[in-house]
Amino acid sequence: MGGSGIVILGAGQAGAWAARTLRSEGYEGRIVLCGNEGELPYERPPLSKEQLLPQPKPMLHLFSGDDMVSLGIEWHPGGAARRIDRATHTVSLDGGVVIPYEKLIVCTGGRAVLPKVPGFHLPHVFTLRTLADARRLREALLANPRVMVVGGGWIGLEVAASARGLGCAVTVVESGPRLCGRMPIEVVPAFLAEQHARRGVALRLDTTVEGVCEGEGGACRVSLSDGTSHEVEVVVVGVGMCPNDGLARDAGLACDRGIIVDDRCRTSDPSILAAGDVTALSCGDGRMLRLESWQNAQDQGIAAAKSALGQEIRYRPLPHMWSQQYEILLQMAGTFDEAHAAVMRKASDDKFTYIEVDERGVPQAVVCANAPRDFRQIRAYIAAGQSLDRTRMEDPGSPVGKWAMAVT
Amino acid sequence: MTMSETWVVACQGDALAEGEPVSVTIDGVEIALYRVGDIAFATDGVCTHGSAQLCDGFQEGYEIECPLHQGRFDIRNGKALCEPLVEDIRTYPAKIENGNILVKMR
Repeated sequence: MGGSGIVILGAGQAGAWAARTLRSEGYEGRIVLCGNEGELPYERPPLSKEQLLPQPKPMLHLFSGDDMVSLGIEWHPGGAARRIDRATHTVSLDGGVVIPYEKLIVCTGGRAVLPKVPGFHLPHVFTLRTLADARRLREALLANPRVMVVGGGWIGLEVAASARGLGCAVTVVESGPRLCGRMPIEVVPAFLAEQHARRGVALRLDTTVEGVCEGEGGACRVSLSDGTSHEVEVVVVGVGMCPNDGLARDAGLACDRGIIVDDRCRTSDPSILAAGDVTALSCGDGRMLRLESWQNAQDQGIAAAKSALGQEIRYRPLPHMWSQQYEILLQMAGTFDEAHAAVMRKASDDKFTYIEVDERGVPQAVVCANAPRDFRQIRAYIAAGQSLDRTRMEDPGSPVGKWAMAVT
Repeated sequence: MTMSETWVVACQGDALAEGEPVSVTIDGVEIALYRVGDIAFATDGVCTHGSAQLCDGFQEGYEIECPLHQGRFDIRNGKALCEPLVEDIRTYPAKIENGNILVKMR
């Protein structure tokens, strides 16, 4: 076994960016990257979109095998990590492999939640987290099945859009009163509900699945809480993800639905950092930020690597996420608060910009539908704490670049 | 499909302004055109990372930022400048002649 270096557990987006960043920041020591999937590191967003098409483009990998070799990264794919031993500073993988670490970066992400509903074990029921999951679902969608999507959040809605785009009959079942239940604002759920309904997706809100059983001819029968039952060929469950913090909890690291980290990506052990979906970022005021986003996986992975190298970083991210459904690009940033004043700029049924500003006129949150230029500028205003001129914001003719409040 | 080995007129010069990239298709290939002062540049039109069109992005000088994930390329040599990009983008020789933007496909 080689000497001690930096070990990264989890070879998804956060782990891959951590590994890349260690080298690009000049670290020349041993880097070991361990993943439990057999794939080279990849980004998950295409799994609910391009990868569900009948002939998808090859998956983009964050490293090729050659990159790993030329960067001197030891690659351990396809095996689970079994134990973090903080006393001996080692990690144990499947097959008895034991790897020493000076620093450990945990990027084990999360797994799709599959609630204990009768029949959810049936082969008609799919979850979507990995490339292997996407391949299975793609196969099933080729036969033009009737699809029931359980969960009206981001994964559910993207899958619904993809399936509908393939011509499948689609029903979305959501347990709450509206879509995207974790968003505290009405604008986005209302917009998405209209976009999906317009394209023929059936939406059933305030409804849960009571059970699934085998039906006739390859179909299954889904019973809903509203008393109805439905014959479909495919059920996709997208009701959230559960962080893979089990190893950390077993090792005694502080966890709270995720590995607790500070603004330097440090866990409760000074030799161990964490990044990505597995983390709960402690904001210092008692709040925990659980950012399950592409942006956080990348940025926190990069920050954790820099922190592991002793750099004085502060990772205090502005929440930032996006979703693509049909031809819609929805981009969101910041923290929504119903106490803030809201400005809605609706260019058409398919394009809008929504901004929330605090009492000083400083924007705190933004949602853009098909308005990437607005989004970019407003996100910059939020990051800069730039107060904005309310009159101009409300004037549809006023370009977003001219909204800064004049300094008098 | 034959690739032109000579210079092809991609668009008229006054259709391409600095900071406002334009998308054209040449020989079936999507190309993004850019202007900096009196010089034109051309790259593949689709970002190497996702499926966004670079002409919808943000050009600042010699850098183009993809609208989707904010990856930036140098339009002079196609170099990927920041995350999330891991792959450079293909560039094509471009020039302005007789009021037209010309591109040489390889």
